[in-house]
Amino acid sequence: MAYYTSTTRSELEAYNTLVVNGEGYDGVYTTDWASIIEHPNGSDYAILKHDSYTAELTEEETLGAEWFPQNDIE
Amino acid sequence: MKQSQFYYLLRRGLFGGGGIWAKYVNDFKARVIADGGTMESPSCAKTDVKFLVQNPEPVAFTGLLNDYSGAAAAYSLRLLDNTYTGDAIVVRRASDNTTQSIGFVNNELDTTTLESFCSGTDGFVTTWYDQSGNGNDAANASASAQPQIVSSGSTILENGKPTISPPSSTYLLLPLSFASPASYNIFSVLKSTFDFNCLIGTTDSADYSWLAQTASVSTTINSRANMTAAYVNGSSFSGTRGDIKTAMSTQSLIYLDYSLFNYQGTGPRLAYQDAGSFRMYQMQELIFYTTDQSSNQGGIETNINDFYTIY
Repeated sequence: MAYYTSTTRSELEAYNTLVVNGEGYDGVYTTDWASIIEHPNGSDYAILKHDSYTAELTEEETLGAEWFPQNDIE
Repeated sequence: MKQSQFYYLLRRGLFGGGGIWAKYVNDFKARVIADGGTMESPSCAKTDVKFLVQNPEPVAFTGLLNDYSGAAAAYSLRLLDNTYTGDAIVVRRASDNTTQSIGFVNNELDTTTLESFCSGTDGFVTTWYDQSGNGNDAANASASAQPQIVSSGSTILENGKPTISPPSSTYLLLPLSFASPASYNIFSVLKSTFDFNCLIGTTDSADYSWLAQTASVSTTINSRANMTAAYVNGSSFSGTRGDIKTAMSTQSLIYLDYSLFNYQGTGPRLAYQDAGSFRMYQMQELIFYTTDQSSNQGGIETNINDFYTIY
């Protein structure tokens, strides 16, 4: 699973909209492609890439463990 | 029963006898008397025999919630209550993203309709309906986060029964009320299919319960959730996250007694946070009670195990 990352949340929201419009979700039971993931540093964001939709965003093959801290799970 | 078999019984004069045909025979006898006919009446016999063969009286179905009522939420891929008239799930098929509700046939998930709808493609669960009557449906409106139930047109099975299977970071959201402080007695049929699993979490990193983690020796398996007892396949359980992972590596029936869930985050869900680390368990059934079910534990476990044949 690849991800798009950005420091601008709205860019990823626009990508989500691109996928939603392209896929034609029913808008009732399915309204979004994916949630935007916020990096614990508060300034980086990521969204899961849809195989059929590309964007001028930084692509990462995977998100590192630093994106999913388990600070409270020791 | 074949018609010829019934005629054979008639010829042998086995009316009123014991054995597996007794019910049919006694019903037939009652109908003949009610109709004012006689045993020798060919027309009456033909009519009634045809009726009995084509319309055997069904055995009344009693669901788990009929015997053990009062659940706060009850999710299953089988019918749990004979008064529940809703569907089991809503499924989105990958081929065109259309959705369809899937109900029950013979008290089990209607896999014929499910596989017909998902013909040749994958199917994902957008909604898992609550059968308790409280409307606490579990759902996820994000396509990429919806767990799977059909793979390439075939229902995903666990031990011969349909199962909701989370590929990667997918999960279902619970109603907001589950983030409020409450005590819960939880019964579930589940399986750990990842190195990390979490039963219930929220957006808050300190909210988690029933963690499974491969090879972990940590005994911290719950946070902000006070678990007073745990049973796996009918036997008392205590151990590490690694022990839970080992126990849950095959289809398991769990009973967890939480005296207090005191989660602080929002968006309760069947995973840890966004399921990036501790993911959703593969699930076939999940029932929440807010009242103590310790006196019903054996009965509920028997009901579940009789259906799923886990242990």
